[in-house]
Amino acid sequence: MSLWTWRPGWDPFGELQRQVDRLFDLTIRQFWQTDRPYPPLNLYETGAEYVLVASVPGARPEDIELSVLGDTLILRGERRVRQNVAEDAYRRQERWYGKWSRSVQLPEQADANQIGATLEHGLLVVRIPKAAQAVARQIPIRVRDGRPEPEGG
Amino acid sequence: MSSPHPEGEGRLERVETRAASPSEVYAPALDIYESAEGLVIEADLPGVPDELLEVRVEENNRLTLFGRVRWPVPAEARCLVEEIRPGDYFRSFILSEQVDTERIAAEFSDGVLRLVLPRATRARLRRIEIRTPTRQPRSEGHA
Repeated sequence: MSLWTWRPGWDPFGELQRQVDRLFDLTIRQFWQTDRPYPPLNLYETGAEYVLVASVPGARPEDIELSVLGDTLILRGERRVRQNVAEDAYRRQERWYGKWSRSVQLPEQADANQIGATLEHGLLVVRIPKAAQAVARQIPIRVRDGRPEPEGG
Repeated sequence: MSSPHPEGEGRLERVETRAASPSEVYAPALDIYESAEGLVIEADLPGVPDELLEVRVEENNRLTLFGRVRWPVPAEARCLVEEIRPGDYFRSFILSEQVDTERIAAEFSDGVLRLVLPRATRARLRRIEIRTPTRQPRSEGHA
């Protein structure tokens, strides 16, 4: 299926580039962290569905509100700071706390009525199936029984 | 972050942000705070299932965290938006003698690791003081 051409074979130069990119990312990640929207998310497309993955470590289902408005998926939540810890008890604080909200415009083919979401070890995984007409289906080509013999000859 | 006093309370640990392999490993974000139970470390390891998390105390009181990510989307899925580069997590610390490494407790839920490092009260009792013998008062000056 042509949708799946994204996955490359082994490509040493691409791999090297990715390593350099990641090394760079590792160095700057914490530096930029506060400028990045929370939570960071990825959106994927497979043959039958779209999958949104958001990184929400520590979140329980009750901390997240997921809603759809028109063609927009809205995620809201709050990461609460641990209670009973005095501000001056912290030696190091790298994690972000607070209220957050993000919205993602769904692709036209998404079926907003069939959205399912799970929390998996701190990752929010939202699965949005494609509308039935958007799913590429294999159409079998049948040979009709008793087809007429080719004419002429 | 820590107090400049070499022997002060702020010297319980040293944090290293070192990746085992820079290609796919990130340093997890973490908080460290004092509590009645001891020093508490809370680290974000989203996407790491329980069975793929390793916490060890190695030689020289080195505490290491290593978590392998299990990404919920197959590699062949087409990525439309990428703000997260899936990768594993590694971080290591040097614990001071004031931590009782035998009693470190770990909890892992919802992608957050919570480590409690109790203070070693016995360590204080075992501390050997180095005394300098009382010096003879030196009356004669050097020059």
